[in-house]
Amino acid sequence: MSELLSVKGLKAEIEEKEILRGVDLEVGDGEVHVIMGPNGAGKSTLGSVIIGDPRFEVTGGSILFDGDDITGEDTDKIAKKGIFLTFQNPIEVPGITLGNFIKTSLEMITGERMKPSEFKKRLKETLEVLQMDPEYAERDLNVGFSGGEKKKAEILQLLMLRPKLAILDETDSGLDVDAVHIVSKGVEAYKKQVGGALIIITHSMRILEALKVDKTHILVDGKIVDNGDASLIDKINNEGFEAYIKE
Amino acid sequence: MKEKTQVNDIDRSFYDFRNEDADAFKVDAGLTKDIVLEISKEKNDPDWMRELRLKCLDIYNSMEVPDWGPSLDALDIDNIFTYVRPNMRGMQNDWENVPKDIKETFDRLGIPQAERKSLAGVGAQYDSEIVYHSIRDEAASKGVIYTDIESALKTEYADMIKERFMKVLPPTEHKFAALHGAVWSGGSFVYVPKGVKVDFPLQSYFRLNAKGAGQFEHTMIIVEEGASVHFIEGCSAPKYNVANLHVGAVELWVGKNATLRYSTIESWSKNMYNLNSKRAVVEEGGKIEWVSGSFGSHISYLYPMSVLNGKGARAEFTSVTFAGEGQNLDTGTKIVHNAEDTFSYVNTRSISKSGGINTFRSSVVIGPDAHGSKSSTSCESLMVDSISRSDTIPAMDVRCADADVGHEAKIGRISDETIFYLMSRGLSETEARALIVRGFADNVSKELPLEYAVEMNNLITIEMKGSIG
Amino acid sequence: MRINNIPVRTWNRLKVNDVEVEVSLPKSLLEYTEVVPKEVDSIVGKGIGHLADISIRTGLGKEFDDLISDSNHKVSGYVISENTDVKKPLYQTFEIGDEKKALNILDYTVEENGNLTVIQTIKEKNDMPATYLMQNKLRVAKNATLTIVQVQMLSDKKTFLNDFGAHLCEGGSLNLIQIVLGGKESYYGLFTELEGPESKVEASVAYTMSGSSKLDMNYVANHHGKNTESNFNVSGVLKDRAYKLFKGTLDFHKGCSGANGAELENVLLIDDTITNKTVPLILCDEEDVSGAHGATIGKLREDLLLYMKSRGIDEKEAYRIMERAQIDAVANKIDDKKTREEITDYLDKIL
Repeated sequence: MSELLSVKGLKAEIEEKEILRGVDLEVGDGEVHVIMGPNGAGKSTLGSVIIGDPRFEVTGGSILFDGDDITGEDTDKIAKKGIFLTFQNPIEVPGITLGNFIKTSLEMITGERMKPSEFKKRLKETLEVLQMDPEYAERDLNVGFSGGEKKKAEILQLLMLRPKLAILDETDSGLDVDAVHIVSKGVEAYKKQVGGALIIITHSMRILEALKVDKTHILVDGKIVDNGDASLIDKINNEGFEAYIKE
Repeated sequence: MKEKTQVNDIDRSFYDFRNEDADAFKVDAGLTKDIVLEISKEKNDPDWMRELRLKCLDIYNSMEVPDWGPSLDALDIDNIFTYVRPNMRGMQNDWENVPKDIKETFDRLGIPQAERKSLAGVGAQYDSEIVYHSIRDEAASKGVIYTDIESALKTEYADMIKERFMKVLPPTEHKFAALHGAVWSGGSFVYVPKGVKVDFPLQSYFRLNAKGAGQFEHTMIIVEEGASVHFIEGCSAPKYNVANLHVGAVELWVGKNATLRYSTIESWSKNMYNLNSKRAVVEEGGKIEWVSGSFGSHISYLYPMSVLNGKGARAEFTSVTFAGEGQNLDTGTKIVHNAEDTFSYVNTRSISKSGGINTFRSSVVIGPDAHGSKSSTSCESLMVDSISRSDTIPAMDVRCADADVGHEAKIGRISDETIFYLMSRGLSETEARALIVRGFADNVSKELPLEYAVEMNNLITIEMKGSIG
Repeated sequence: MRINNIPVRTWNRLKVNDVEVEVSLPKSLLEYTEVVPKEVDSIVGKGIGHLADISIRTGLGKEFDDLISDSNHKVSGYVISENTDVKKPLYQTFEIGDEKKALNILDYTVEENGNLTVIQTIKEKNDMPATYLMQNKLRVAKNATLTIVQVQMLSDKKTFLNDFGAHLCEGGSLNLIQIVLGGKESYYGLFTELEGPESKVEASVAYTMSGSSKLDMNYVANHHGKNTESNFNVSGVLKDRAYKLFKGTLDFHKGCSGANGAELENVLLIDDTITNKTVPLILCDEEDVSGAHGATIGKLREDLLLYMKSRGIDEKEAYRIMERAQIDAVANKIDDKKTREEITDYLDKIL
């Protein structure tokens, strides 16, 4: 069976501290996966390692994407292959507007110049989906954005870049109800328009309400300790992670 | 209303006592070829050393005094006695053999009680000569050498000294480095062999007793591969109404993966011109740690320098400088990154009070080969009143794209709110201010062994009490 | 002569205390074009500084100032009378042609409650070697505001000595925006006398230096008045064998209680052959002030690079983007679309 993403026995460390201790994960085309786990289990690290964050050292295992081994590949090449990771704290960059950044990004990923008029049209439509003021695109990238605005700007990029796999890292944390609503609308639009796969790293459930979850994985202490379908989410909601944490 | 009253002088009686120096041998005041030759003869120099002294004298005469920094106009070398030998012959290894007045001096200063407690070795210099040196058997048996340079020149280390003497700090560096080379006397030689870790600190104490005298001690520390040692120096002098001069030189070699911590508590009297030079060369993976508390002297020029020559070499510089009435202290550090992945961290605090002037002066140079190097500087200055002054003069020179240089400087005062808060909890204003200043200086005090941290805090309390009635 | 002297000297070995340049004055002034809003009074004469009864120190220093003052060249003065808010900018274009030496001496006085924006564009008709000297003296009266935007688009054959001196009265505010896009050797100076209480200066400088071009800056905020404020923001990019020295001084004099000063520098380094020097001085003779300096010097921040890469942008492109962003972040402060577009077009040409 050919999976879109195939993570096998992945081990990774930062500053000689092992965070991932052999993670296995298979994600098929268009599937929606949820990764849950207690704080410090390595959930965010998994996202970072998949996108090739050089702070982490892969000490074992492999990551295959679309049949290619991307373990240790440069982040920009991984992004070009079609993986998108939302950042918990997107970087502020004065001097470049959000709109220009997305255009550059899109052109780098597709390798094609885009007509300004065509880009503007798509950007406008996408901003509407997220109920964002068109003025956002003219503002400097993330500069002075509130937490919610930053998250929305990340989802905007997701919709514009149309990756095959999107990894949403705690995208709903720290958001008010309206913002969560808009973010989940954006994720829904991504499913509908692009049909890509999703890995949602979370410990809150609100964002999942509008989505059909295919698989759920429980990550504890750097390892996947349980797999299940969407019903596992409810189980965790009711019982927490106690059953998985060794005494 | 808050009231501040000035007290003319600060109580420094702990350091401010003097002995008669009638019995001591002195060269004439001033600096001539004859005086240099007399010192050389007095010290039984080998030929190369005598020639070096004369060469240094020529360099001294050819160089200008700095056109930056505090004014040195009131310092007249013609009035300085460059060599004063206490009334004894030869360095002693037995405390009982040290002359009574000198012994009492060091007893009052807490040396060598400290030795018995927590030191691996002690050296004591009185005016121009080392009067006492000792080293614990544990350290000596591992091959650690701790003695004066004159004695070391008569041992198997003579060639090592000849090869390295004034090489890290060449006499051409500045006028006072040349002066030092011409008239140096006393100081310590420390050698830590490969792999030896000295568990307790070594300490040298420098006391300048004679009126109008200069002290020119030379310290050489060689820490071989994988070895480590902590060296502490303390300095003090009684106060006179004429200028005294201190132009020491410190040359340090930190070998591959070796560590040297060099701590200084300086409380020279406030008629002292402290024009000291210190420099360390650090090899691959080695580390130099400077910890420095400067409280004394009338004028200071003091910038310990770290030259990071080996890959991954590190330098840390932590200092606090306290300038009170009549003091103009120009202090800081110089760091040169010459190799890949080198790292430097500078953390300085200065406190200006009662008309004292503080200048923080630094330079960080990242050379073209220092790929991946990082340097970070944080300097904070505290103005305790409105008649003092505090200047910050850092310079950075980066020649390599792949470097990361950060610098932060802040200047400020003790907020009235903070004082009010502490007073509302029952502290007097003086106590509140002293508490805040001690806290401000904790970057240094927390790096010092306990008894030195206590001494430093006492110094701060004494200085803080000076001006608030 | 020696120019750009820092107010307090440091080690000579660092070669930052001042800089030696050869300067001589041309026989005549450079003619320039301008669009003058109707509220602005133009006065041509000798000396404010010149036109007002005060002497105004400048950043390039005394030797340069004396050379200009002692010459018999005319000063082009502009005066905004009290309570006059000039809505449209005063545009001035200085274009160096065949002359080997060029000079302009300018004065701007904004009287009480007045407001003026000046946009100076400095360019060239050909890339022949030439030296261009420019001195601007500024006087900002009580509660008045003066904004000077200066865009320099010179080739690597031009030497540019660019001297500013400003005197601010109570509540007066000076906003200087400088975009430096070229030049063989550029010497920039600014001396701001914050004389009146609550007066304020903000200088934002962005530069991109490549080839073997050289930029030497000496900016001083002289705080005398109570609650005065200064802000220097300098950011730029260094490539090839470019040399940059930024000297910024916050000088808090006795009596300037409540004053606040900050210097911020951000330098993106591209090649190992560059020289980047930074000398940020804080001189403090007053207890109740706050002064701060921060510098970030080096390659692109790793978290920023990762973020860009995660959006498919490779390292080379990320540097290209950031090089422009360093300029655009400052250029975006210019409240004039036409000037911003001119900068964008010029950047498209040179980058």
